[in-house]
Amino acid sequence: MTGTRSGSTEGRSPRPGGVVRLYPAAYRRQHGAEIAATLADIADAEGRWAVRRETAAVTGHALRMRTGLDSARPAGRALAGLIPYVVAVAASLSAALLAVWPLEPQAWDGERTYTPLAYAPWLAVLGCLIAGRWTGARISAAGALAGAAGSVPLAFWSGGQEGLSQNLPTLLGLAVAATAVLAAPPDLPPTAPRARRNATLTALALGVPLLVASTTVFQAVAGPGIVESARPEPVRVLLQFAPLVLAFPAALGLARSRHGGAVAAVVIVAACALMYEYGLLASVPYGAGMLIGKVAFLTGLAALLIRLALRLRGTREHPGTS
Amino acid sequence: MVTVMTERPLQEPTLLLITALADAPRHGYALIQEVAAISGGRVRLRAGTLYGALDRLLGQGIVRVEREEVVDSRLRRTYALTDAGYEVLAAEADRLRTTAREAERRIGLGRPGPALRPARDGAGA
Repeated sequence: MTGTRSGSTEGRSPRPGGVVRLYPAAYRRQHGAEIAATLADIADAEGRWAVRRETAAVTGHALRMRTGLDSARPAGRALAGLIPYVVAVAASLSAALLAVWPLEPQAWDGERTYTPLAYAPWLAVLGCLIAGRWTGARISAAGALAGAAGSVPLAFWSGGQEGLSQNLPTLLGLAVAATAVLAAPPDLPPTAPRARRNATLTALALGVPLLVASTTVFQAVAGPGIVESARPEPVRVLLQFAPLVLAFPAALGLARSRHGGAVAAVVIVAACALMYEYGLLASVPYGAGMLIGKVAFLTGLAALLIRLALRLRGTREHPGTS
Repeated sequence: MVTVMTERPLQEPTLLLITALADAPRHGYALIQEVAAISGGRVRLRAGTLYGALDRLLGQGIVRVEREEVVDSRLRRTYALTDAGYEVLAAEADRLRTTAREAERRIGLGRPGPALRPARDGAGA
């Protein structure tokens, strides 16, 4: 089948190829005229609405080219591989925050504010990803980004400066996660059974303990002879659980990636520095730094060992190759 | 040099794209139309997705540029599969065929067909 034209001029967009100016100059010189021609073909055959959708897609591709996140480059492929885990972590945290939001605060909790508008879309992102509906997941991620952005003024309005400072790190984290989902190369969607299984298992491994821990009331010693009831904050629980859950897939991913050995070495050095810094501090309430340092160290070490084992197996199976 | 990992199944947009190039070289819009036709209208490649995938496949040595020409003052760059691309597609087709054959075999074993149903009035079987 070749490109057929209806000959209709109704759908002609004023400048369907103008969007190619967003590409980096070198790429634009090589492919700009060709992409503009394809957009013009679409404008002729399918009308202006199709061109608007295509222009948005080309804009996304141009931005990925500019940021090095297109699928032709390792960073883009790495981002595509990370998406199931990003979604699982963000959705698990969002589920825990949504579960805690309607509960009565405990004596030691203080005044905590929550922004459910930023959490709810993540359940849809995870659901769509697991169902293999990647377009739905991306639309939901756009909703999550809008929810996070809209929650910033809402947090300030409902909780003042304190409410804003309580929520801002979480909202920024969720916004970054939503941006990562939107920025991932669309030609490498995480719709394969392996990616969906990884997202499901990670969400279960992280989400269930996070939900249970975040909704459990415990007795805390608030002072000499004073015991008050409290509930763990979901974000702090996440920082404790996530390194443990993600360590194995991270080690496996590092071991299999092309530059995984070098990255693992950097992780080990950074982990040692983190542990040294936290070792100097006598007491860090709720501090997850030491745990993260230890888990990162072991993850880097495991990645190097798995990489070595894979290489030895490869040498045994194919003695002629290195 | 082909750097694609053939041990893992190809992702659907990639599989559809190289399938669309298997019988004849095609340019950008023809590829979009052909992918929609192959998938029965289920997959509609956007231009941004198409050129992202083509860049990757060119880099991996699966696709090559066949020719460039100007038609109606529009630049058409026509793409074709390389030998390595045909090998990748053949391997994927073989993998899919093996899975489909096994699925059909197991369906035959698990679902009672007409031959396994009790015969009525002494007929059949």
